[in-house]
Amino acid sequence: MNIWKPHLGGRSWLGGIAVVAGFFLLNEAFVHGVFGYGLSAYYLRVITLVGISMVLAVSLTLVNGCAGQFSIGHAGFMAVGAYASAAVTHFGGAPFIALLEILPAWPVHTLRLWVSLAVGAAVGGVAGWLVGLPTLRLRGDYLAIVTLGFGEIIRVVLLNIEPTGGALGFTNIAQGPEVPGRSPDQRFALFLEETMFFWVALVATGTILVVGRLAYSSFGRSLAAIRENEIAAAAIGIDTTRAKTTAFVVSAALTGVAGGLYAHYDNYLNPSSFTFLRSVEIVTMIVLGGLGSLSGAIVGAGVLTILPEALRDLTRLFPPSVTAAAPFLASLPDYRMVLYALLLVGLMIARPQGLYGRREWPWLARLFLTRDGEKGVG
Amino acid sequence: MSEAGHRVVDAPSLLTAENLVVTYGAIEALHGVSLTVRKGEVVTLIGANGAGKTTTLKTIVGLLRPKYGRVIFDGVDVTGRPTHEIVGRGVALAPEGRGIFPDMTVLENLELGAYRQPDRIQFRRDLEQVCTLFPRVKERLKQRAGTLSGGEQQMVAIGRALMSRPSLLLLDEPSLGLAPLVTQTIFDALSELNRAGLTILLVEQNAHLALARSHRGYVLETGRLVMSGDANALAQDARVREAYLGQ
Ligand SMILES: Nc1ncnc2c1ncn2[C@@H]1O[C@H](COP(=O)(O)OP(=O)(O)OP(=O)(O)O)[C@@H](O)[C@H]1O
Ligand SMILES: [Mg+2]
Repeated sequence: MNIWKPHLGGRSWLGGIAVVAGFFLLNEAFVHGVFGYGLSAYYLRVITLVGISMVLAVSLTLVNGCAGQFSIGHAGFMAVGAYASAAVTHFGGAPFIALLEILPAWPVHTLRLWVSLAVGAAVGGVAGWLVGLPTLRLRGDYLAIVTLGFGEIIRVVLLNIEPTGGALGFTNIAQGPEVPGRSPDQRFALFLEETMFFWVALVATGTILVVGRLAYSSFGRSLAAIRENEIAAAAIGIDTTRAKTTAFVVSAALTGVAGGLYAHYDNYLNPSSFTFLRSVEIVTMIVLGGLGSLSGAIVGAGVLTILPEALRDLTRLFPPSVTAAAPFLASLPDYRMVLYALLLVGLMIARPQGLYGRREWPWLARLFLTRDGEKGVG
Repeated sequence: MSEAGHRVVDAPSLLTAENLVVTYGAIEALHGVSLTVRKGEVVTLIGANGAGKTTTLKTIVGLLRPKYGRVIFDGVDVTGRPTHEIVGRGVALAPEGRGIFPDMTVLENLELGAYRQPDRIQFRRDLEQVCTLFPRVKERLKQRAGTLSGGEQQMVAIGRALMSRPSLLLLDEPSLGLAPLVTQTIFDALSELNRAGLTILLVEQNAHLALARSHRGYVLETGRLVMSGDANALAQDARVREAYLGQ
């Protein structure tokens, strides 16, 4: 129905250019520093990981928040996206390296990254379709069980695939396979090192826009109807299976892109990064932020990515003499997950609806405003 | 002759259910139910708790798939078709327990009822009609539907069903849990809709009122139709009076 069709502002492309330019300048500043002040590699890493978390949290919002389904296997989609895009980069470098002879470097590297990310999206989406189609016909709890199983199966399979490193992990993704007697080509790896913040920021912004536009469209409204009363949603003519499957596939594809970003950022993958805990972490982000709120997902991703790092720094609060006397203080970071849990329990008691409930920052909601000036889900 | 007005005996059938057998796992809930609703009729399906009334309606709109039997709507066999397709053909269901979207406003509920209706002008016109039919709804368009009274929620549920411009309206116990006065209001609205040409299949435990407003009726007992006929005749029938009218 056209009542909730999102309205595309006449000058939105201007804003788009400004955002891209802004990210580019930020990236330059973060990586190379301005006036001698740069961001330490550590902080840049945390910020970049926050961006990847945002992609994860915002795309999961479409399924667990908007449609009210319950996936606890999104680490699996992240893993298939990560390994697929890493494999394309690792094994499919030859044509790009050949292109480097005739074209300037950055367009070739950019193309190479985007091809790999696109493959990550496609594989994630197909996996989402294969998992979603049979289960989304059923009631919500089946989805939870099946996605959980899917995530674990993917991890175990990856542990046993030799070409992508198996349990040892997938190393030198950007450099490509080792060729005896030739030193590896570092150019793509260097390019990634210097630009990943930019790409992550761009994809995170794109994800927020895509999911926001979907959530605030008539499609998003049909997801909200399914969430609130699935039988009634079917009774008013919503193709519930199709709507849920679409949401699931889009979410899984975006999660696959997040996996691809993660692979290219670390230039290394290990199946142990994609355990059940990772799935729970993403769910936690959006529950903490407020299920169904994109603003909440963004904040939740930030909090849950920064918090463990901040807790890691706890030991620095104490001088070595103190930690020597009381060794448990040194092991405080090991209790991160416990602190996490406590914080979460506390928050859920204080604010059961999450930080944002279903509300959005007005400036963000404005990006998704409809033609009639009505807001969508909210 | 019922309050519903003229009799529509000779009108063509709009809905025919043939020998519906529906199972939940090993339990067979319907053992071969056949019924017909003709164009312009109000037909009531009465029966005790667990008789299979809701199951019958769900099967008609495709929420359940019959093991045997057929559902024919407007001359088309829609057995086993997905619900959204059957709804698209002109069947609307106001589900049992109202089934509104509680966190949305009344207006949003009604807008969703017009989900398959892309025409904005038509939407405004339909909305106006629902508001005329239920002035209480009009006053509460901006209110969260979950905060409405039971009767108001039922009005929203019916209004939402009407927004899809159905030719057949299925109602599952619209009087459930409502005060007699509100029930009257709702049945008045249904009679008005029927006079305007809407065909209605009604499931009710409030047999007295429902039969008084219907042309014909069916009595369902543990998954089997045990009686059918003219609504007045059913209301006079000794067995019906004893079992469903408490007389
Ligand atoms: N999802 C289900 N799983 C198993 N059995 C069910 C299910 N739904 C209904 N039944 C059974 O099917 C039979 C018919 O149920 P149905 O809901 O159609 O009855 P009803 O006539 O609508 O009753 P009520 O007046 O209480 O609403 C009952 O015995 C019920 O227990
Ligand atoms: Mg019932």
